[in-house]
Amino acid sequence: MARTPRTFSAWAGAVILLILMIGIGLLVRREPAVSQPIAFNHLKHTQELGLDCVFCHTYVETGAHPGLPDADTCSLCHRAPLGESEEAAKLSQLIADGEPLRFNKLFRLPDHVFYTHRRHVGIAELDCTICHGEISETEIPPERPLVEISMSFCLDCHLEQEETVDCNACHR
Amino acid sequence: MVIDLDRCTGCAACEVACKSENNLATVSPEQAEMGRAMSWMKVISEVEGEFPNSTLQFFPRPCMHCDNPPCVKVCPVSATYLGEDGIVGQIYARCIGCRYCANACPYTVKYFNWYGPEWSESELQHLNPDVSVRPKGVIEKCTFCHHRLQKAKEDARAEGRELREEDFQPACAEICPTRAIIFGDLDDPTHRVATLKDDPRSMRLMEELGTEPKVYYLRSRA
Amino acid sequence: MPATGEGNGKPGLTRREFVWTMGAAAAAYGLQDLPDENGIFWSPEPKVELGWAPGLEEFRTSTCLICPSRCGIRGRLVDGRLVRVVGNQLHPLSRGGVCPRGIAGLQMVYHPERISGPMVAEGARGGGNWRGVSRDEALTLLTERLRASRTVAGPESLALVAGYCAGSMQALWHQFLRSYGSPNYVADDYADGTDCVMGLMHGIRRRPAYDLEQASLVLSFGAPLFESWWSPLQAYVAFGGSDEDGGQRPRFIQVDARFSRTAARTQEWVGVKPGTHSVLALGIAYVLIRNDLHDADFLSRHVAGFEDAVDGAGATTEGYRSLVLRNYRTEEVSAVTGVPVERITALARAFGSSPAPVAVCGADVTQAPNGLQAGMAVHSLNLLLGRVNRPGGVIFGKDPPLAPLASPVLDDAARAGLTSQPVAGPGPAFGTGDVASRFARAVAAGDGRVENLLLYYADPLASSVHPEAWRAALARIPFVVSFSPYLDETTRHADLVLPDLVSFERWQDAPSPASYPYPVWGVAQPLVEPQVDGIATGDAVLAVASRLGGSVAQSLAYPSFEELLKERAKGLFEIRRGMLFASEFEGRHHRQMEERGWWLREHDEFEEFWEDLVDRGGWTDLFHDFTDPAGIAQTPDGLIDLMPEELTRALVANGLDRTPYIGLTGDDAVPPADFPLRLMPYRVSTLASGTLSLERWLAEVPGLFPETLWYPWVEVHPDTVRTLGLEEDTMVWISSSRGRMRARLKVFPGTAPGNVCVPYRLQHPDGELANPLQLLDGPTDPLTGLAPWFTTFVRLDQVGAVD
Repeated sequence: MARTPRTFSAWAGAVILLILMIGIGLLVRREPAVSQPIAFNHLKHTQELGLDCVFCHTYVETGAHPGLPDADTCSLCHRAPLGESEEAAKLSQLIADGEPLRFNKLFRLPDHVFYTHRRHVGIAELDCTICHGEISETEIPPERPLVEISMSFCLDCHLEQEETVDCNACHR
Repeated sequence: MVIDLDRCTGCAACEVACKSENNLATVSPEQAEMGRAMSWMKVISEVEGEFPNSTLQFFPRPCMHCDNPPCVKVCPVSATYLGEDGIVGQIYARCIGCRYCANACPYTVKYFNWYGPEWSESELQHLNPDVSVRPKGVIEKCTFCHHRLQKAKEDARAEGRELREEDFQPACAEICPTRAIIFGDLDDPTHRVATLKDDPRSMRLMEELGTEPKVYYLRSRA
Repeated sequence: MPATGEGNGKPGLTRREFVWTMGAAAAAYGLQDLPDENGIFWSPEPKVELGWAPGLEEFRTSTCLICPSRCGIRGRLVDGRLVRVVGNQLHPLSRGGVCPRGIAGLQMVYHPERISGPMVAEGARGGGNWRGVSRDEALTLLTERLRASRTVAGPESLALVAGYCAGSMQALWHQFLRSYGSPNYVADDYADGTDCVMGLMHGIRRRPAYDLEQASLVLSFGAPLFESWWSPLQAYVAFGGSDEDGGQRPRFIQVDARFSRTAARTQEWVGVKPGTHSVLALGIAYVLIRNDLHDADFLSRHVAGFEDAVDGAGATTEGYRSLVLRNYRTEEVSAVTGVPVERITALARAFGSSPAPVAVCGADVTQAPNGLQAGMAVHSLNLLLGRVNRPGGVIFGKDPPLAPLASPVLDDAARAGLTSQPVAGPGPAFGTGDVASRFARAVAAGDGRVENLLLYYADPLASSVHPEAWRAALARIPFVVSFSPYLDETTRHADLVLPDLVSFERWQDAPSPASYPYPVWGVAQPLVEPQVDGIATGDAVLAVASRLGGSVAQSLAYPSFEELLKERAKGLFEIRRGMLFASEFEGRHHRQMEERGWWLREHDEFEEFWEDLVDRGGWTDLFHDFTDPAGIAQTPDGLIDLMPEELTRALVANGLDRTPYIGLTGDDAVPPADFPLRLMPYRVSTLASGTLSLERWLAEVPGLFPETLWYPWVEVHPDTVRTLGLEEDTMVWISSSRGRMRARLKVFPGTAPGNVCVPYRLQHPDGELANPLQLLDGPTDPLTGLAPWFTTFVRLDQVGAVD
């Protein structure tokens, strides 16, 4: 049966619509930008001052989540104004005012993924950069994760390390 | 898993412990009437005979974690599968809610989430963070508390030793006041279950279907 | 059944949504490795916002306070949230087991309908308008009220209605009332009358303990061992047996008029007609005596009243032996109880030949007519075989040796108040009877002395046999204070609510119930921060006492209830016996040491002792002195009395036959034409001690009927259902001459034809009460003052057909 222009344009319309939907879908899928209350300088703290990751991310070796520093942690050094940066001054003011400090999570996983830092950092002793890239070299907080963590990203590593690829190991 | 029916008092501690450990949502009374309440571990009762000669048998019924699971064969998206530990897994993120598996399971242990779970703000606090809260439209079932297995393996590895029998117990076996539920590795001869499964009282449910269930029941023939 | 069918209602997903979802799933599956963080395509689900919480796990030891069993628990906390309740393996009674109520206790802590803080009724009482106040305001309000009433109306104007209350909380309330000067401690808790039986026969007014773990045969007469007994866990642990000694387990036989869960799961069930347990017991006694299976040596050395007695004037008084042989011949007993002759003989032989048998007396026995004598009849089996103060037998336990509270300081007002007659009036001949009902009736009848009423774990409007008396009484009492954490039926009629912290949030001590043979002092420490702005009642009482000042404050000079417990624990530290909770193995070792008179000190400092005690869950002493004669009887002549003179006097005074046991003829009442069915109320395990059915997990796990969810039900024999022309699952009215209640009809072949069994204290999902006790219409027992449970006749009508 000959295809009439009318059906053809309907098909073309459908295809264009599909492409558009996929495009929009991909755009929407992009993680929203994450902003932080204080523009923390990882480079300064980890490289110049030589602080360990665990100093601020207290539970990185023992907990599921590593934890983020709160005002109490920062106030160990920043109770009195320290350094010259505007951000440091802002932080000291925040501490002086007794305001809470809540950093926002940058690297996020879906709810049905059960990842623990204890297993990967505490026990397997993986390097932080594998998943977090060169976060320690940043001077201002990145708005998006430096490494895109997808399921195949996890699986590739698991296969390489001859670790379990049982679905249950990560999905519960 | 071995369940000693001669010790079971039908107290349902296993059932409630499971609900708590695995964040089981409750449905409304009306929905419950329609058979939509979910209990991964369910104490089934069977009454025979009339007063004063009645007898009753309780069957605590978890997922049988069959070695030849009928549910796995019918899943179109591999959301349910037999894992390397012998546990039949259910991956909610993959499940499309077709319910083929629920119909295929002869033990009727697969439950469909007709609604999203309803927890009040305060109740969210008591949810177990190790287990997903299942969304609407997926099948869920007993996992032998495999999140505990993951944890136990992790602990054993951290301490540089092999997994021991007592390291991993599902919530139902842990809580049972009469110790009627015994859990271990059927393939490890040092575990109690390996001996008990060959007990003369031992039987399995619907063995004739060839499902090879991994839950054994001990029951004295009256 | 799992949700495999479509059902007959609206499914969660419409077909359109389902197809769309499938399509979207397929499309997305191909597009992305990892789904979007909001879940794939489903609506976002509620979840705990973990944020950066590290997921740190911690276990903390405590004791469950939800029912009298007081089992040892451990709370699993993750980042400070209580997410699981598991058992404490070291607790001697519960050994790591927990019942469904304890596990679901989480839902009591995080219940959305908890009262959020102290509140005062606005406008008319019971109108449902509340104004929130601060804890300080509430305490001040209560204090000022009590201060003013004490001067104007006198201290006897205060009354406390307390539900199950043991240990230091009970001691605290008594001390408070005494020093204030009120004689009105009104107990509104579960009484099974066994303490009266023991008082009469042994001169020891204490509920007996049963050493189930070491017994070889447990013959239970209507004791709901696996359901609502003092400690189901004690029965479970004994029933499960020890794994260590080759699985030696006692044999359990249940004599029950109802096919209860206990009857169903013990090794043997003996179905009897309601109220005839004691007749069967005496029938067994008959066979034991006839066949010389009784312990003649024990009877001659420790028991009075077995043989006929001849007094100085030559008059013969019939003893137990003759009485039983004359009146309880097997054929007659069989006719009364409905148990075949061979079965009675077999039971007696099994009981008489077992190495360590014990007969357990349950509330079904003592709640029958002539309950006191019925209880004595059941207990007499233990005496016949000498099963008192023996391993695996009946034991009189001891209380943990705590340091007592300082003796109360009484001022003139207090002394005057304490001499006044309690509002509830004099009790029955034996025991205290139903104090709460007597109290309510006295107030309703015009005793206007009570100005202030305190409610502590008591909800009489919902639980009482006489809710109408309570309604009238509450209307006459000017000021009602409730300490309930939930807005229960009676709390709705309060003027002031000071919500207590729930179990798992507060400090309390938790002695094991008297049914356990050894003294156990569990400690409940808070597992979580209080979820609401409540105040632990112990602390509230201390605060009010301190604000009242004077002698009341002097009598209760403790900074907090926790400190009070700590002070009392010094008694345990100094006693030089017992041990902190430990494994079964260590416990046995300790017992062997104490048997040889040794005791090892574990702690040099009290502070260390206390810390360790809280950490392990409590203190116990697993050594019992079986050689102490005071453990057998404390009567003036040191003998157990099978035919107590005191009972005879009371029987005569009440115009009854003067010979004990003779009144036990069973209940052959013919049902009246209007009410053809016999009502048998009972308690289900998930609600045993009668708190509201608050926890959703429990609402899905009721009694014998897994398919019965949420709704109160009534169990009826299939033949009876057919005769009535009703159908399964019909909602019916259960009506007696006194009132009616709604329940769902369940066909159950285990119920005797002509009986209907109704669980006590369930609630309809809409909150409507379903209390079968308010249907009871039998006369109160003159000796025990308790309402008989099984003498009421009812009828069933379909709801809608008669409205």
